[in-house]
Amino acid sequence: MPERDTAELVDLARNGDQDAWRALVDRYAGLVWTVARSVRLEPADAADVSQTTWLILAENLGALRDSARLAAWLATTARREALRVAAVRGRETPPRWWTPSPTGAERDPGPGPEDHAVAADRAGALWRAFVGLPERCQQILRYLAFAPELTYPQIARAIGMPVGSLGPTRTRCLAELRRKVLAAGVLEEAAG
Amino acid sequence: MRQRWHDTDLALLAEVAGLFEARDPAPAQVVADATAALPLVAGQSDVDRFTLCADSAGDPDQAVEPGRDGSCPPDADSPADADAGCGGGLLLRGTRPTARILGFTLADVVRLDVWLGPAVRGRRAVLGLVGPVRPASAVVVRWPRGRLRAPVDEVGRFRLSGVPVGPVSFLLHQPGATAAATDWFVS
Repeated sequence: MPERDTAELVDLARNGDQDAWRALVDRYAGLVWTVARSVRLEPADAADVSQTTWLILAENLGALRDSARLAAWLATTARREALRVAAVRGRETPPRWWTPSPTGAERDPGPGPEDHAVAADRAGALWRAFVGLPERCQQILRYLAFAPELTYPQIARAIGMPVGSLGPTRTRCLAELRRKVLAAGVLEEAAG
Repeated sequence: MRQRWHDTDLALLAEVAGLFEARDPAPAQVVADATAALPLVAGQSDVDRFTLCADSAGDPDQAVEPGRDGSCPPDADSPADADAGCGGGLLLRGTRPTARILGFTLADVVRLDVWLGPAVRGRRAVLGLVGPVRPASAVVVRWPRGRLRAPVDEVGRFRLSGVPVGPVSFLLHQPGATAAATDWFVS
């Protein structure tokens, strides 16, 4: 299927077009997953939140008021459900919050071919810079990384912060990330 | 209010996305379940929709994320909170759940309360109350790979057992009325 815009895919999916639905999933599965994980849910709970979010969407496609804003709708819906699950699970069993390792060591790709070493260093340095950011920064950049089309009001609503502070915070977070990766001496081209 | 981007910002964010896709990607089963969602609910759009009006898990819009500062999201266990927006809870008033209580309303006329018991080996018992009562009503709980049906008794109660942890939705079937469904939520 050629690249279609989100609103067009939603319209097709409303009429049962499974290819269009699959294209929406391909486009936004990562966003829904990262929203659930950003609330620090265990993978099994994040999987339930993801599936629930897509089921809600599937049943409400006809009622979606602005299909072009699907990314915001998904982020808001997934975060609400993730927070509810986090609250309930916190009462049922002590949570083991998922926290990225400061070094990322437990999920590093491990020794690889020599020509992958530089890329691994770059990724490792960026990861360490990212997890060194304040949590609010991580959250904002994580949402934007998966859906740059999200507007300030959409992100503010999704993560529950005042819209007025979103822009300056985003700018500060990006600058801080860039400063950290430059300090590490890698990622020059991405860091500008 | 659309943000302005510099190419370097977008490049940096693309690298961040790439990091998460490499280190914590959406598992293949998660993507498969998402893909299966549309056919799973096909043909079930001609139902009325319940509105969630009370949830003992709290209001996510007001929540403080757990673990960030050691606090918990607001608790709707207290009668005042639990009844908010529900026009008077049937099941919620005066109870303290060990798991979760949800209240749903349909046009402020029909009320559905469900009490999700503690999970035992991945399954829960569910107690519920429907009001007003109509004879021969039934409640169905559905999940991605199954469903259970329970009759509603003469005072509006129903009971289900073996409901799996994970996505569920409840449907109320009443004679002479369109079926009504809750949104999906994680039980």
